[in-house]
Amino acid sequence: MGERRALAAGAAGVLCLTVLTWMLVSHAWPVWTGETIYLRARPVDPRDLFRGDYVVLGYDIDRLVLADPAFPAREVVPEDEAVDGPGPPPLPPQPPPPVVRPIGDWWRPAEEESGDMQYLRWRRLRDQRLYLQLERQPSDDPAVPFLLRPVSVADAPQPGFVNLQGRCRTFGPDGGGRQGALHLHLDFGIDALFVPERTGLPIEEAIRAGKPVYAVVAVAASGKARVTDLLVDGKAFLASR
Amino acid sequence: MGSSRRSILPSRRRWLEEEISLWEKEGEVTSAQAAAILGLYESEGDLAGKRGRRMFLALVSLALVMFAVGLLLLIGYNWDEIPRAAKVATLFVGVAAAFAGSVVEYRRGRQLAGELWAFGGVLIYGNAIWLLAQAFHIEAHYPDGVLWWGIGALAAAHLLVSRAIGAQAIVLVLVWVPMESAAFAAPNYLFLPIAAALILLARRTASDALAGLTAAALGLWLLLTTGSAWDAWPLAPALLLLLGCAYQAASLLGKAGSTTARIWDGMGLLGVLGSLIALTFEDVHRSGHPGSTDPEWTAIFAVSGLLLAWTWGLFLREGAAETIRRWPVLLAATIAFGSIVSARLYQPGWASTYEVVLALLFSALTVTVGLWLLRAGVRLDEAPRFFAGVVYLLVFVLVRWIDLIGDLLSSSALFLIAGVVLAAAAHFWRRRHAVAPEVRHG
Repeated sequence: MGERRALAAGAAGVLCLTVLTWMLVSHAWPVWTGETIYLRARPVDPRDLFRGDYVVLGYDIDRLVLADPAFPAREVVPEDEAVDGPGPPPLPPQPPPPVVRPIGDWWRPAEEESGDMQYLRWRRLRDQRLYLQLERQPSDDPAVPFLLRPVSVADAPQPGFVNLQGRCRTFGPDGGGRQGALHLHLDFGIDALFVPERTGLPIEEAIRAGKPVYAVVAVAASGKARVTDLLVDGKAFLASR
Repeated sequence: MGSSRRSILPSRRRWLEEEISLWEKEGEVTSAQAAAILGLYESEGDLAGKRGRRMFLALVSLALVMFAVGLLLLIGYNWDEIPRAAKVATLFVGVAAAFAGSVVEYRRGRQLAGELWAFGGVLIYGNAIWLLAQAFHIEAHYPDGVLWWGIGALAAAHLLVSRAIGAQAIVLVLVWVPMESAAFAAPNYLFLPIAAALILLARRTASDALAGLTAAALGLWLLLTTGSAWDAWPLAPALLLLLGCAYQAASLLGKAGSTTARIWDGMGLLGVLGSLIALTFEDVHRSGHPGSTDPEWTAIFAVSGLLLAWTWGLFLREGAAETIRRWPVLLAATIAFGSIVSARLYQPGWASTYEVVLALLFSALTVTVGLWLLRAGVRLDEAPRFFAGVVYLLVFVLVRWIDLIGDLLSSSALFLIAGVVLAAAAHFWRRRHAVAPEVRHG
């Protein structure tokens, strides 16, 4: 009995260590085998830039508009921002979401579908794995060798591009209605960067000052990405510590 | 564990001792027979030892939890001084050392210590998942962190047939289910094999608490899956009602009067009573014609059909007497299934008639179930069932009153009347127990 339980305890330990090893390897795989890219980062929420000791990052490419003539953009009237008294200086204005071409019919509603069914179909795209195709373009910033421009989005990797795998967060017409341009919010799993306690201030200051901040991201051929560092003011933030 | 004598609750042991002493005095049994009967069950010493072991296990488990949280915070502080490789090594060595300690203790024949080391090992393993995610900036599908921790705990609990590690697993599953369903809309079918493994673990460890919590987790999963993944929030109460009926039927599988049977019976009753009240509202049926498409409807029909078949099948297997005794449960299951079918067939032209008919039907069913509880309480002489019936009928009246009328003055009168009804019920029960048992049962 004791011997059998001892074996079982050993097996349980091996199982736990196997899961942890798999977790490490699956993280390391894009870093070992993938290519390094640089993505322009922006804070998600100016009032909540730091949660604990990790930086929440957003990217210029995680909110997209699908180019399709059946869903033209509506004129958007910007809302007045409420002012809650003195606070940190405002963040630089965000660029409009890039327009990308959808590849395939994964998003297209059937012609006979009612508005409700369209809505449900789009709602069910939540969590679906999608791939954003990025095209290299010259960088005007000496800190990074090249930049990437989003060109299309598909439900499978496409040859000839850097494919970034993400999960659909939300999909649907802007403004929450049933008409207008189709907005896609993707989550690439690279929106958290843990930094040592009380060291995130330079990042916040750089972002507020309008300096470019880039996430250093390793992308595997499968599209899986891992953020490895931040370039703040041309310097690798974690590597330089 | 330790004693081959039958296990017994301390309160029952005390009752048995008092009764046997009386039987002995009355000459019903000899002292040898009395000693033999008492000898069948765990002794006072056995019970004290068991209590002590449980207390020790609880305290050391708590200490291990504290230790694990301390470790989490220490490494989570993310000191610059701790290089990433050292953090990883600490975590791997921590897990390996804890399980190695468990192996050594089991080899020495010290079961409890072995189990505690393994419990600590699973805790460190869970912490390691989060800390590795932090060390490597992994921000993927975050409920997976809890899922993998739970799977590790479940596997370890099965391997070691451990209640303590099983408790860790069910807590994690109860955290994971809402986390997964709230943040992500995809159906979480992975829960089903996990629930099956939990029920199997509850059987292997003879843990009624684990079985009850798994039943609760299943209800939570069904509620969230119906609403979030199948886009059918309005059908959630009907599906929960079916689940409650299925639990009532499952209680028949346990030995009558056993704790297992009572837990499934209680959980089932809770599900039936709660969901019935929700179904008495017209609004539930009004907002309720889900726009779900075929795959969702197939899932909804499959689940509800299985629950209905399970309920009917088990009652019929128990025989006509049981079927007749619990007919409101069968009726509730059948009507709930019917309401799901009608939601599928719904046409906009049916409009308010549909909502009113269903609300009235479920209101009638609610009253029926309340009266059935009252009657069963009186017939079986079970105070909890009787008072559950009284309170349930009152809750129904109050809820309907507030929903339909709800002005302050009449509501205050209603609450006063409710107080009177409760006092009258208590008085009735007291008077009833003042009557000789043979008259009461006669």
